[in-house]
Amino acid sequence: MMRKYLFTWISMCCFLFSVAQQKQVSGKVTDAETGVPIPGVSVLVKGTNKGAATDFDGLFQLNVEEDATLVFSYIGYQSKEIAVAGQSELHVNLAVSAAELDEVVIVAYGTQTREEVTASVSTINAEELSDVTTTDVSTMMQGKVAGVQVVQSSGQPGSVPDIRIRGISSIDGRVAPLWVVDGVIMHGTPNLNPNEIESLSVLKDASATSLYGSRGANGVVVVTTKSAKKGRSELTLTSKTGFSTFNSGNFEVMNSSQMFDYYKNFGDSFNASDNPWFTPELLTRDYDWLDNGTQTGVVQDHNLIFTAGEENSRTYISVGFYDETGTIKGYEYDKLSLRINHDHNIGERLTIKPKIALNYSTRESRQHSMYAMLTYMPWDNPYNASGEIVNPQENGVPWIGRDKSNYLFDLQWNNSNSQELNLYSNFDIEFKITDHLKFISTNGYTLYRADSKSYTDPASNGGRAEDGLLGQSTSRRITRFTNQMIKYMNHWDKHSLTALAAYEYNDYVYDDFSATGSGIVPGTDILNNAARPKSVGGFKNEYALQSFLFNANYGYDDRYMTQFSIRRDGASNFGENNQYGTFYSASLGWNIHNESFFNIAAIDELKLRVSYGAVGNRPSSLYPQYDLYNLSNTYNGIPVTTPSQLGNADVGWEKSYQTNIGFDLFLLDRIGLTFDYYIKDTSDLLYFIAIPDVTGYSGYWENIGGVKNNGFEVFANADIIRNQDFQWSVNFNIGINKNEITELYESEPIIKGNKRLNIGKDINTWFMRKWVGVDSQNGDPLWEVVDQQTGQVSTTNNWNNATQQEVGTASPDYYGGFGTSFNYKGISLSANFAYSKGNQVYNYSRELYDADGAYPTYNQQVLADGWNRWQAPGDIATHPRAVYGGNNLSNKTSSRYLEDGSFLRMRNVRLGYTLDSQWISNLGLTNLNLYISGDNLWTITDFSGMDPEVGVGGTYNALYPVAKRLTVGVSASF
Amino acid sequence: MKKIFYSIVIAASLISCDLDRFPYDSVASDELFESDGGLLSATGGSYALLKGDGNGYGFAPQLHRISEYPGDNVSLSGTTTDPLFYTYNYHNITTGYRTNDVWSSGYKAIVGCNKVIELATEGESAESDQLIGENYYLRAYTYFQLVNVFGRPYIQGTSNLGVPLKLTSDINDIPDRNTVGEVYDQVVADLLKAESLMSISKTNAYATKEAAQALLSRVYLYMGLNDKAIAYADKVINSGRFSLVPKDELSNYFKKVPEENPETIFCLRSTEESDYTNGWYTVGSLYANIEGSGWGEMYASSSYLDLINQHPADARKGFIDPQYETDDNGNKYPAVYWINENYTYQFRRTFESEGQTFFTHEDVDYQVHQEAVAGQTRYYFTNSANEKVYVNKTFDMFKRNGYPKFYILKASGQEGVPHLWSPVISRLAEMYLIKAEAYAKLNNATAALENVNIIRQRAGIPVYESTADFPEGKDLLEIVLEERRLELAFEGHRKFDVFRNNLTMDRRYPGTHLTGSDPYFEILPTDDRVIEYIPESQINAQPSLIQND
Repeated sequence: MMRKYLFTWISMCCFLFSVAQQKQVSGKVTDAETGVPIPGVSVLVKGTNKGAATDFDGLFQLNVEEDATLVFSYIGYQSKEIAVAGQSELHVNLAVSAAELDEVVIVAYGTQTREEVTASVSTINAEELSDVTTTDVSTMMQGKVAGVQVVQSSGQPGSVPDIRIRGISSIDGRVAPLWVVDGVIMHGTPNLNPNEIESLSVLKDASATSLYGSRGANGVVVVTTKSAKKGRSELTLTSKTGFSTFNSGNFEVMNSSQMFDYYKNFGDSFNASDNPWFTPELLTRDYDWLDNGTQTGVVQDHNLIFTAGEENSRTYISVGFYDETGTIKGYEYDKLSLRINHDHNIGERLTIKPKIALNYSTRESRQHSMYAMLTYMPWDNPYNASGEIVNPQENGVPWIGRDKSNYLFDLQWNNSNSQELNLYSNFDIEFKITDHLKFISTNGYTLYRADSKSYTDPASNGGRAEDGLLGQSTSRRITRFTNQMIKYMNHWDKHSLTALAAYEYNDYVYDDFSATGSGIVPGTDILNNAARPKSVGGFKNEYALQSFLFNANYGYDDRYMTQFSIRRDGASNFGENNQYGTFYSASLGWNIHNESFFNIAAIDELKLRVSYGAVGNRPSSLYPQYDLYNLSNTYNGIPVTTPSQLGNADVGWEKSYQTNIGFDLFLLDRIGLTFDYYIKDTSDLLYFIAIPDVTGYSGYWENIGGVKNNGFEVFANADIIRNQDFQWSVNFNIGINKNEITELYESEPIIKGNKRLNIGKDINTWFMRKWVGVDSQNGDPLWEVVDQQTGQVSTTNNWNNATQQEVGTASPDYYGGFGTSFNYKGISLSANFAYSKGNQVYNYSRELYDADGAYPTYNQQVLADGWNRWQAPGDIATHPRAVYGGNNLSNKTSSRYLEDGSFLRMRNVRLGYTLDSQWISNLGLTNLNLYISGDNLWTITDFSGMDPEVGVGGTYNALYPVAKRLTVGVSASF
Repeated sequence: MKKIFYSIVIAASLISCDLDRFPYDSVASDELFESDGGLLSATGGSYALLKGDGNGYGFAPQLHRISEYPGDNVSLSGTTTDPLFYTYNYHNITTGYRTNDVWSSGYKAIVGCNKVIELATEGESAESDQLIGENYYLRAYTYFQLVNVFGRPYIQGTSNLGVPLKLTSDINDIPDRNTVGEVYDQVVADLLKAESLMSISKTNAYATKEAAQALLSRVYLYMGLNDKAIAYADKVINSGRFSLVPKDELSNYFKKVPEENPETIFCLRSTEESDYTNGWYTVGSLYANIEGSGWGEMYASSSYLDLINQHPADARKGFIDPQYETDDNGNKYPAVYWINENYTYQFRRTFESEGQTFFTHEDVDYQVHQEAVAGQTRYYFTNSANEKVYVNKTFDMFKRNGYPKFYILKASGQEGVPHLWSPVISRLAEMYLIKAEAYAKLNNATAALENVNIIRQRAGIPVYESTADFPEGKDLLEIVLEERRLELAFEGHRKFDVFRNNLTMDRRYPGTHLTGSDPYFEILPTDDRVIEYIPESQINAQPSLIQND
């Protein structure tokens, strides 16, 4: 279809000045199978760019020449051409397209039809994307794309999850995918209003990403924002309100009597007579800190969308308001967003496409402390008998908890807030040079500006010494992007050719400024009211890239397709010896179903795809090449210099060589299957080599080693029932990735915190002392000792003597999602699930909350199902004898706290009802949809912490769990 | 098509932009050393690394924790997740970040010194020689402390493993551990070199000839070279540059502007503007809560208090700030306290009846008696088992987990800022104490006492006319070391002073070092844990480093 469009587009000029008899044609477009009218169908006069779109009832009206041919097209349907031939009324049936072959897919620097694509690309449209309620786009992707791991690491309003596409392929370089919005490469993850998104493509293999060269190695997420359709004006209002509840999962802290029993376990090690506060009177106190600090959060998301499409001018305007309060008290996030996308034709050759999006978000924080809620003792009460908040920092205020602090005291006054402004603007131009040649200019400017303020009251513990503090900071980031492209498109006989060549430049500058004043009047909001300046700070950094790129796609007879891309990138964070790198890819596709010999009726589509290419990655450090002395230290009030970095002028690009083999299959007009196998071999890994501190430096950047990811991805969907009144479909995806380090500096393993990099092992391999269990004789903790010479294994109760070893990995064996949806007349019911299997999570929190007495005045975790405490000789127990003050460092890092992080989570379930169109049209509406939706209502996991989604690093530390949420919503169009 | 492509490439390369970007917060090394003042600012960098930062990180703050917390002057009132806990209770761990910080910041400073020593030429001017000398001094100081932290005491054998001697700035030079003897030899050589190079009188915020002599005196004392220790202490004393802070001002020693303190020979100068955040996480913050800032979790030990309370007039009591409970009128509650057999503080408020003092303990009233012992008044009661239990007569105190809050003020209060602190490396009082100890070891009691008495006089307590004045059972060296302990408590000397004299560390006093499994009640000088483990992360990066037992 794309090709037809292009052909249409190109041949348009020929008809430019021809004038013929005009005639009004009207008609109705319906689904060939169900007879349901299809709204939004593009009706184009063939050979012109003149057209219209159908309204909600599938109706259209158009003035055309009598001999015109109309092209009807809509995503998911086969397009149809009908000659007007003098008719004034047309009834058009569109058939659901087989395998959605002509669906338009957004790819690097352009679009292709599904049939033409030779790369591994997954697409999610707006409807599929926006089931869960969030203001962040990446959260919405969870479980929906095969091979894309989306892991939330916080449930705080406004937080953004981690995304990894096809595993982790760098050690110290970037591992997050590149985001491209409307053709403009973004810095980091953009902050967009998800309601503005038309479609989102995930580019996974080298042939899909190599046009992004040095930034493509981690995959690319390409976002296209909505634009207006020709011939139609509409106003749509969507509105939803949700209620979130705190989800503590399998985790529970002790209450008063459980704590009391825990103390009794201490036996002789706790002498109650020396601790006169320890009396049964404690059992009369039972303060629930967690209950006090959590609440039902409220989320609201309202959007107003206006679209107007005329012949030469199409405008899309949306305004959104999002507001969310956390499930932990005292935190509110809201976001106002505005987008205007405009397309304007100036004459027949020139189109300008300005776009502007602004969003302004604020965070107000007087958030309760998660750490405190979990560690404070149930025997301490934040309020005294007269209901006043007590301050245990003051001498004489009784308090049992370790930190002798009541966070509610400072929280009476202290708060912080921040505002973030994001501007995304494009000024894009398309100019048709000849029928086959186009000049496309894409120019983007983004501005990020954040302001934050923190207030510490003179009366608070934190502010007393300084008579209160007021801190303010401002940061600003500007990125500029420009791409000037020549694009050639031609289609002759059975051949089709598209080629592009472009120059691209992108730079970034960031700076910030902060100041703190002390000695303030309570309640003041400005630094002028501070008696003394306390500190000032400022920072700045930059980067720049420039590139030349070329791409060609050639197709023959819709059967054979081939693609070649090359890009040369230069970046500021490389030494002069290696500033430029070249990246390339080639791919082949074969539509077997279009072969004359192929005549299996059940198979509507069978396509084979093969690709190979090299993409790159940059270091996360912006200046790794220089030998540096830091300027920010002082001695005796005088600025001094300290050695900070060893340079490496040879530091160069990480190169990821990727092979992808896949096929797309569509059977029985109902079942779709996409399969991809990939090998992603990254070499010259950018790694910050730790050198012994004896050298005076901690390390330097070097290209060492390699890591290989290989695996496969399957996406399957099936329309099980499809008739006029009832439809039922299911979908499923899975990604299986095996990660392996292939090469390291001097082949030596590298220890990074609790993980170790070792050849032949997963990059996320845990490396720590191995827990053996509890000595049944005396209740001591036991770890494994491996003799370095003989390999003989023994146990020890001395943590220091235990041997650090590989004990599992934080990478999942497989992950993905599945979903189903039912439609019966106007009623729809859908559900989406996400899962992850086989990843080991290090539950760091247990070093504190499950510490066998090491922190007797921190509240402790209630032992999970299947756990038990050693009490007497002969006990077979999971938990060592509890000793007041700690039992032989039993709570120090070891595989004891490594847990299975597998989970299955119902991300969303949604029940919707679309009102009868006849009835609502009486109200002046064209569409009215009501729904109720639930997020994260149900999770299965063995993980003992609150939430198994702990971020890709795999360490759990008192994180803010993702909330359960119930939402009701309405969408109405006029 | 090709033509178009090439013409675009050519056109684009004409408009191609400059891709060079440089950091704003750093300067390139070669640029720095080509510039005037490069060596000066790099030397300042070494001072800064040793000084540490406003959040208690860096060499000097971490060294303080490692050398003071395992001593017998301090008592921790709770358990903590901080690795300092395992330094305090001798259950050291190999992964403590504070030990790693001492290693890492120490070697950064050492290499910084090596770089200046390599680039500078001796004999160009007094100023540049001074600068080179300062670098020799700083390197020697750092090695001396590192070898004491990670290597066994010198007197236990010079062939024990010390720390690697890194004497170049070449990053490919990665030495393994040298012996304790080799490190000491280097320290002595560097200090002698520093002494000979430095001739300019700088403030006590910088290393000077006298700072080098003062440190040499201590190094010789640690090595058992008593004559040399005395000779170098005398060089400092006779320089006339320093004088003892008078008794009345003694408790303000660490509150003064460091440069205005006549007794300090060398300190690592911290300023409020650059080196102070909010007081939390500083060394002082663990010792006291001042104006709402600080954890105040580690207090003067009962063992130290017993010692200093022998002379209630001791001016050094001013460094301890007991937190007394008061009633609404601001009156303190009279009380007694003693330590029971479980090493737990027992505080009891007292009441007067018919001119006698009583308190109630387990529902029984006990009378507080007094007796005179060696010219001092001691209080006691007779318990139910008819044993005499000595008590301290004082006032009731605020406590944390039952531990009375005896705040320590030696790392706080500089220039009135709650926890601002410029760690003192050498001060004049130490010179007298070194001489006293050296003379004691040379069996010259008269000279030893002469020096001890200078310190006792300044503290306002009775002097020892002769060994006949010693309390029963104490010998000369014990008296000298007791005075050293009293004077230099909480200044990072105690652990080394005990073990370098092959003495046993007695921890039989209240503190959370006695909680948990297998507590250490005493630590023998031969115990493995007299020294820290080499940080595991260093062994990971340099597997040839041999771990301590």
